[in-house]
Amino acid sequence: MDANLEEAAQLLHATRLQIIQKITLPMVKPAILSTFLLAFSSSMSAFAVPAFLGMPVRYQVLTTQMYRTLQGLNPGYGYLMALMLILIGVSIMLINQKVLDNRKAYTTITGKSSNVSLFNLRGLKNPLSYFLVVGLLCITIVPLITFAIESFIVEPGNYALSNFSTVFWTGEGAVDIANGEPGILRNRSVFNGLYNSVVLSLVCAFFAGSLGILGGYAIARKKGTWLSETVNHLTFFPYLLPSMAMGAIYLSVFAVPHGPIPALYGTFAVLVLIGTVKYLPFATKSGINAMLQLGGQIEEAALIMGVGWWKRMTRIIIPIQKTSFLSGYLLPYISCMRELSLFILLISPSTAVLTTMLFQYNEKGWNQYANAINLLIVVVVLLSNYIINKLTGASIDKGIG
Amino acid sequence: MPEIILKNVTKMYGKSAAVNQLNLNIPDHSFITLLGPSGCGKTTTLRMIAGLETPTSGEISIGGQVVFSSEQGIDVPPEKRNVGFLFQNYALWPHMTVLENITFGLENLKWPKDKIKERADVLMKMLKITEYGTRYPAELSGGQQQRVAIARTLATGPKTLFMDEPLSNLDAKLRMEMRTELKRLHMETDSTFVYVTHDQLEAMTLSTRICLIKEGLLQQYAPPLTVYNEPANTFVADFIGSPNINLLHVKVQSVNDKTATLQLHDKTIQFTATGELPIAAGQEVVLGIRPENVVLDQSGELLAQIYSTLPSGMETVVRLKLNGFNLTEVVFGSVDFKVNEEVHLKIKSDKNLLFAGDAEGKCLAQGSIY
Repeated sequence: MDANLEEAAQLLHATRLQIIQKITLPMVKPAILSTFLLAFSSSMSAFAVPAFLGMPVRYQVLTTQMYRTLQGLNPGYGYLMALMLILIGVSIMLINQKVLDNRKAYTTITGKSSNVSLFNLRGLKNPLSYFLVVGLLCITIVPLITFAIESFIVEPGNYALSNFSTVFWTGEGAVDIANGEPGILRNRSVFNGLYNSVVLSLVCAFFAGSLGILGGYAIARKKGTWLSETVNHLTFFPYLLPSMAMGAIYLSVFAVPHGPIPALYGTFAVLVLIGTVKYLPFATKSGINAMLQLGGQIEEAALIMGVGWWKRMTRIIIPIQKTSFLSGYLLPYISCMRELSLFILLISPSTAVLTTMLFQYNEKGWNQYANAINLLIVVVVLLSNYIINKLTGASIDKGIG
Repeated sequence: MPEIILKNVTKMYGKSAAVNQLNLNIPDHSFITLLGPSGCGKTTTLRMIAGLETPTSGEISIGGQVVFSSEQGIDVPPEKRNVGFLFQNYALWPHMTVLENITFGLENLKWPKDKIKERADVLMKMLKITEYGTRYPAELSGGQQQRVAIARTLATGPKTLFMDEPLSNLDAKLRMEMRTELKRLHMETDSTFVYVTHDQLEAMTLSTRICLIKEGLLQQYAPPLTVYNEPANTFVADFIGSPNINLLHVKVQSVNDKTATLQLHDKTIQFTATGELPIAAGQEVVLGIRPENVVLDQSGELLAQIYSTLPSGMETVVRLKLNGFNLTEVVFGSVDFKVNEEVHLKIKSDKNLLFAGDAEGKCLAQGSIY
């Protein structure tokens, strides 16, 4: 929001309160409402959090209920729940569209402020800063530290130094602990999961990112045509489907062969397929943004000289927008690394990924293993982002504008 | 050789026509401007000739070769039309140096290395950018970027050069300079230039012929001075010339052979045509008087009041009130006048115009006013 808008009111002798009431709030209202709706929708379709936190107290939500039903004897109920999830998700999106799309056209909401005005907090400056920093630390760093500590404690709740052990990390496995499961750094199945996670994320990122570039290119070039709009909406469609419900759809389609469609259930290919489709919206969005930012003329300048399509892509378009395009790869990669609900219905023991292993350890009550794997995932994600960021300057926040 | 001919070219966007049944004949070596207000279809026309946009119907030929024909199903891709295109925002490739930008097209054509260097040197010298060869576009000023874009476009030696408002991103001073350079360039390269602009002054000063378009329809296609002196209709008369022509809506009181008596509220003036005068008494007409033809003269019979003055040193634009009509005049020289002063006027020249009073406003006659 442009500070000029507030200043204009200020010059007309409006008080701070009046400005907030009459100018600021009405202007950001659609954005706030939209955030609310999106948060609601993502909580609605969340699986991991209610599964981890709700299970011990038998607090069931739609997604966990659906998971149980689909694993049980009456999967039909599960598919019905999936359908409900989709309906809820789609209707929230439609409402959101309605909220954002009205006559008063709040175009400034995208966040590019041309004019920032500073507000003097005077004495409140330091307390407010400390409060915010501590608050942020509490919700970001502290949980990580607890994870780390918990993964070293043999008997939960006992913080005596003698209770600390590296058995869950490097132990060879003892009969009295978790049925002789070795520590995660010596555990073949964890390494298999890590390997699967990384390969799956790389492959999904490759397909989603590449399709995103091509899709973005096609959509941006034919902007305004019926075909372009249709393709744009189609690539966005997987975003509307809750991950769990999408997994259920794939489960029902690929569980047994249907005519030409083979039974992919339990294979690595089905994970690649669902991952690619799920992250296509982000990759395409970043592709479209990159292409729109570039404009058509820069390509036409080469076109008119007789430079072929492949050369225009590899010598002109991709080099100029390489960071944006890389972000289009990075985003699916990182989302895929930490994805649980999308894959949980579709994995088999040989295709298990880190997140699903984490879930299974947790289900068995082996919390220390779960905590250790969780840390492992965080480390892999942060490390990947850091390396790519250092090497290329791309980062996840650049892709989706 | 590269004469460009457009036959009934139409471009539809949905149900509205961006370009409507355009016929145009661009002779070899000419410098044509496509002129019109923004959104009139001039850029679309240029892009269609270059092959960057596909017409809905019609035929386009360049140098005798049909490059587009909706009837015969021909659509030659832009790279095979041997044309150069200069874009409004220059479209320089930001990740290549000036030299790389210029030589990219030649490398693509697989020219030998020494030939490429030779050609680049000649172009950079001609456009005075030799010392910037290793710089990146972002490190150049607008005017320098413009020159690089021109060099890049000229590199492959296209016989026709298309330019889409190439000067609109430059400041006024630089624009003036680039205009003279473009005119020289046209002479030196001996190619056909097609130039899109919304700036009537640019069109007047640069081109050999102006093609004036309004809402996709061709209004007039003639040399600049013809367009200025003999505009086809009120739109053309109003669009060309700064300050704008005076257009007075008047009523014909009586017609006597080549002289008509026109009513300006309670006053009358005589209009004597140099040619035919196809009007009748009682008709609504529009009288067009160029500002430079309104002169202050003590012996003048018209009495007007000065409304405001805009002196600029070389000339002064004076806004007058004449019997309830607004009238603009240009007085040459460093003079200024008192506001609200009463002055006597005369209308000189036999190039005053009479247009039909309808929406189309076709030009009916030319003549003098007493």
